[in-house]
Amino acid sequence: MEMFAGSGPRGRALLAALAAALALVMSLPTRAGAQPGPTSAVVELGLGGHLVAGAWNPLRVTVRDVGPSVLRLRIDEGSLLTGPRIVEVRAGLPGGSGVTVFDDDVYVPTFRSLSWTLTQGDTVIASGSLGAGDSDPRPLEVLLSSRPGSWRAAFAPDARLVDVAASDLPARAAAYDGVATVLIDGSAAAPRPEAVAAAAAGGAQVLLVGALPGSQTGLVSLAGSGRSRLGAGEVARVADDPSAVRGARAAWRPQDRSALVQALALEPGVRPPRGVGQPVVLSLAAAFVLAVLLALRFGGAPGIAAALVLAAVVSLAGWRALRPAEPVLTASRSVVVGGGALGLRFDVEERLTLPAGTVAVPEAGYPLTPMPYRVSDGATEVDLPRWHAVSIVLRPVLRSPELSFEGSALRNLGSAPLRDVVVLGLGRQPDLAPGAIQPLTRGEEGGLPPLMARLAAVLPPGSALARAPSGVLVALPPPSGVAEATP
Amino acid sequence: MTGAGRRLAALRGLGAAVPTPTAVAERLRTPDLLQVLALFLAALLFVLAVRWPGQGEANEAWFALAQTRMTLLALAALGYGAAEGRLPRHQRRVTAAALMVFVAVSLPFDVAAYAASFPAVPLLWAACLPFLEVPAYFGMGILLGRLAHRLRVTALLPLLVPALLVAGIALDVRLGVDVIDPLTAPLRVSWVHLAVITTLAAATVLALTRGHPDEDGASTAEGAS
Repeated sequence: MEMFAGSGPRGRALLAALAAALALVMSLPTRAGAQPGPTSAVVELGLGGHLVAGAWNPLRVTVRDVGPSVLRLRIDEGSLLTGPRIVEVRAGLPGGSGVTVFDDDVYVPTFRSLSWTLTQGDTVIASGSLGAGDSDPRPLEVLLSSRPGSWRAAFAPDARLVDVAASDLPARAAAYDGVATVLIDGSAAAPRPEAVAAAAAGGAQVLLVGALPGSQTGLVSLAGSGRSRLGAGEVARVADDPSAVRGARAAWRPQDRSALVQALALEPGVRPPRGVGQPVVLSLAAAFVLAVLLALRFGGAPGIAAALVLAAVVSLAGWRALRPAEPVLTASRSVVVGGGALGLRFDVEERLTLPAGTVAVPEAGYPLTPMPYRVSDGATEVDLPRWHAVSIVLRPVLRSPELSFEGSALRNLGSAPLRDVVVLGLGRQPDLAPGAIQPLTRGEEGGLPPLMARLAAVLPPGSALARAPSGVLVALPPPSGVAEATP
Repeated sequence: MTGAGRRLAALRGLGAAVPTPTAVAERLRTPDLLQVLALFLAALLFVLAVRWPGQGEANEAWFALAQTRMTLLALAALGYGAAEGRLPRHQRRVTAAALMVFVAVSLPFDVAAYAASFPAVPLLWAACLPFLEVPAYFGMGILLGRLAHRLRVTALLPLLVPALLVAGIALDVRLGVDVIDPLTAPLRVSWVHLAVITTLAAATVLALTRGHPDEDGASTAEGAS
């Protein structure tokens, strides 16, 4: 006290400066914890950061020591002609202490601009944007190799080759919507077998090149005897030579998934209510008018009462007769494309709203006709004017196939009977009871229900189709093809 | 007199102010009102004939029908209010009640078209608004009639009535708010419109039911004659 008391004004100033410095030092860790730096959040859209426009793309958000936050994507898929057409994607991230990884799949249309923000309350933790130049619809040719340049000759000059790490491969089929080929030559770290299976089931051609090291023998079993169907794609073993890879790619006829979805949604599954015809409405209304006028003209006071009662009764009857049961009419269609032990299910949900409003589907998807929409925590919402319909294509998901080829026979692997069974090129087959195996025979061609006929037009020859209570089932032909069973 | 006694007397007064069904029936049987009602219902039939869709098409019938109904009701109420502004109060009450019958008997058109069209506006709004709109416009008509009489331009009433309606529509368009316009009133819920119309309707009802007792007596005698 004596020291400070004796130091006068200069001493007090020194004391104040020391106190301020101490307060600043003590506040630093707190401020750093409340406002994490930009490196604490990483958002990666597309496989290994390579985005494919007009396809489902994997999305990975990695945050460190960040509490619950919200990721928002804003995609403008408009054009100079149509103006802005905004797609909004919102996902809540749980966060917490340590590293949190959030994985999902997002449908990215061809866009003019794409921006994203990761926010915590009102604070933006991270953000970024892409321009129209990044909107590339070409499918990816994924290379898992330590010498990716050596495979350049195996692909077309304009092919979009990307070199990714094994850890970048997600184990979700929808993430491979924009992938044409996955080439694994064993020189890089081994990918997880389930990721490879998901890639094939999602529709990609997985090429296992050369003799893979022992650590990757699990992948070899996916290829079976050298080439096998898996879901909508295939797994094949090829020689360690670019020309062999080129040959395998040329021999591969990928299933056109967008054509399949278009065929699924071509005919409207839900129609506006038929209502009551104009002649009936006019006749009844004219009769009502006549009755009211007569009651008022000749009925006196009881006539008024009769007219009012009649008006009430006609109002109630008109309401009951003309009011559609539901303001939003729904329909759904699905097809499971199976090959080997896996199937890929495509769903199209149709909604027709009579009043103007928002229609919602509790799963992630996108409208088949380009229009603004929102995906919020996995649910899709579209604002529609009155008496309008929308077809929403849901994210494809893996399913167990219920119809498959077993040699020269078809097998029903499900628990429901299959009807309208047909093999393209062989014709109609007998209905299949649950668990039944039916040798392939030559049957009548044509006469398919409209939906199955449209699907048949976009499937390769030898594919089997059947109608199940849950939707249409497709078994893609094995690489060796299908043939009539020999007696 | 106690408070309860005053309330009872007021209710009795109100009861006496409500026109009897016989008086309303007599008024509705008069050729002018019956013809106007027939024309009004025929207009609604015409709108149905023009706007009712083919099967499977979007039903937009309610929008045209509700607008036509509300506008014609407002026009009729305004016109009769203006024409009877100088008549005894009892007669005005009977005419106002007869116009409420217009609202009631045209309700099935509105309800049926609403049911088939699925508009976004609530049914309660669509169904109840005309019951407020008619007395409100009837009251405005009375004011217009008296003003025209004071200005000695009664001969211009056939022009002033639709002009007032158009002025109301123009005012709303200028303000950008639904205040008085009967054309757009049924199509969207507007609290401003509801407040204005309710106030006008309440004022009309008060003006028709309360007032100098002599006028009622005179009017009853005049009405009977």
